[in-house]
Amino acid sequence: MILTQAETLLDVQDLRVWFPAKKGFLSKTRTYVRAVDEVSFQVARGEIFCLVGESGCGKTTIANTLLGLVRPTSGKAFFNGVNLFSLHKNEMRKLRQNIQMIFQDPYESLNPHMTIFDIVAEPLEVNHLAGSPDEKESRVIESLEAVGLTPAQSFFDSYPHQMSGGQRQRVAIAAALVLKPALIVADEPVSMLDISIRAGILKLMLDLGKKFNLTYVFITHDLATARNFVDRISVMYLGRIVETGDTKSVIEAPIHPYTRALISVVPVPDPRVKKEKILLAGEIPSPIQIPSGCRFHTRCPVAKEICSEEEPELRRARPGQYAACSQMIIE
Amino acid sequence: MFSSWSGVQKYPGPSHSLIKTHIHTQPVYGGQVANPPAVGSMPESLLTVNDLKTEFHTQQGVAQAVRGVSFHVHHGEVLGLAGESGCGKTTTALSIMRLLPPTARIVDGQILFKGKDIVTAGEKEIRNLRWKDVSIIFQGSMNALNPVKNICEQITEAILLHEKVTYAEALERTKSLLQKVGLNLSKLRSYPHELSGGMRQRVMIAMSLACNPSLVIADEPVTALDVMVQAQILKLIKNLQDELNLSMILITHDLSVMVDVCNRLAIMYAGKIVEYGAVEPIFYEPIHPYTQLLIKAFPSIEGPIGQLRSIPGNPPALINPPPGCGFHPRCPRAREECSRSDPRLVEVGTGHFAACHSVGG
Repeated sequence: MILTQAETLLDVQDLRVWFPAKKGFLSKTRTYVRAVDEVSFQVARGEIFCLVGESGCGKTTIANTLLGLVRPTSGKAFFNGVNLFSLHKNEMRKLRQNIQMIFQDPYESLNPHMTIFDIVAEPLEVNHLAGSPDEKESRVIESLEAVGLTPAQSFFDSYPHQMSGGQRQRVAIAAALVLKPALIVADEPVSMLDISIRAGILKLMLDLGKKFNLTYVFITHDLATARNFVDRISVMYLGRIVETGDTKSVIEAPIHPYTRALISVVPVPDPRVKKEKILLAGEIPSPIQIPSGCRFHTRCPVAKEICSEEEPELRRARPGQYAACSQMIIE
Repeated sequence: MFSSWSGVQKYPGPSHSLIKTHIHTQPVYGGQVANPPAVGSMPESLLTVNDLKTEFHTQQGVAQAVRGVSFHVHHGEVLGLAGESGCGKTTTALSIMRLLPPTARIVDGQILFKGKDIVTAGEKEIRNLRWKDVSIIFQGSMNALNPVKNICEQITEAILLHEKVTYAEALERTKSLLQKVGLNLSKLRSYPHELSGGMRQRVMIAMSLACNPSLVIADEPVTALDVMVQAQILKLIKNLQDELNLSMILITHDLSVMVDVCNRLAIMYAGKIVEYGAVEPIFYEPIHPYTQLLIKAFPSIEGPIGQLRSIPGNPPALINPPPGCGFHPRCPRAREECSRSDPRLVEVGTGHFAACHSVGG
């Protein structure tokens, strides 16, 4: 997708995150866990962009890198035209007000010793934006009411353990919202919640996105949820994006053999739908020893000789849909 | 986990007359005799659970985790127990295995396995039954396997504890089991931490089959796995089930996983079964409002993109469950009587049962 500069909120270019891993206790040979390897993507303002992939594909590492929790090995990430990775600590701290995160597990991401009021007010305190006590309270109330915890005052003195999973995730969203960010990175925000409350949280995120003009980077392994929620999907495999495109194209007409296989095995909650499953053999190779050439070739059902030699780049296959496969037919 | 089951002798199996006497026992719902599900096929029941009630003693009070559950499992069928967290599905499984934690107690009901009541059986009898006749696949394979023993030791130990065989025979069987579940024999001496989640789950499956049980309980066997590995493991479970004609109870919160594997489903809510029957009627003609809403809440990768619907409210606390129907505080069709009396399961179609006042329950 080609975006103009004004439309782009986040532009990640050639991001690499390698973690050093020593072979043995005394070994001097350096090996690396190549968690993220030359990943580029752009996120438009107001868009819900989704990174999807199996565990270990690097999607959470990308999120952590964008938030400054992990240092990138190389690459750039422009947020509103400013490269996040070139900023000083203080500059980053200031800019981080605009990028907030929602974590997977609301049972662990909320401090059990803090009241709901303190949890939601903490980002204001940390960033010296609290102002007068009245001002602080009114911002906390606004945030809690936005996530549907009303009347907000009745939750002020509660502790996380007194709330249900869905309510806790609402508190986490309220704490992310209180600074009025432009971008929210949501790492599997509903996967720990029961099915019956998932839809409510997703709908809340959609509504908040419209109301506050938020942009989301949504990270998930669940394609069925992604399909119902996001605008654009990038599918990751072993540290790289193998396919990217608008949700409808990627889900209904996937190009990359990995995406096809992944979509084919998602169970369908309908007994009469019998689809052919493309079961891949084995498991994802170790990110320490990434296969040569296309990193998917060891498990790919259509791999040819060339696939083990050349690493394919993301190329445009259809309007709005890109894939990294040397075997694909370009329309 | 097996070291505590030492001193086990070969289980002779219940005598035939016992099976005959007990298998015709009518299931009882909520203390009243109801239409027993699938009357005609009663003699085929391998496991019959009658009005099971299990409680946990907690600091806050007594939590009624299972509040009168009745179902049966026929020979060679897979029964799915579905429901959200805290609905009592795992407690039901642990009650059947008699592996409840010390704070929990079965307070009422019967669990008849091949006609023998597990609830009243002595500890020795239970040890003979566990693994030999009924085995379980746990969700967290990392926690269920012993981290300081390699997988070969763990599986042979299970066999040696329950059967009078030599070590060589046990080792042979272990090897064939590992092959059966698709594990390379080079992993024979691996420790659990050296294996991936999918491989560990395969080891758990191999171990559950070690003594040729007639009933396998799989508690969320694929929940922690990636979707591709999940598909591999489900296929394995399905193939083994066909090949060995296993009877299974599959416990999961994910209805879409049930569709491929199960013959019948029991939907649980707040410690009770609210709907029970064959898979298709439950999916296409769900009767209970909870089942209807649960199915609507599931996102699908196929078909039109529908508006996902959540169920307002939260499941009730089981320390002080609501009077009447457990679902009435969240039910869009709740009436006055729903908060007064608890509906019983009534037959709404052939072998299809629902517990809702709207169908006269």
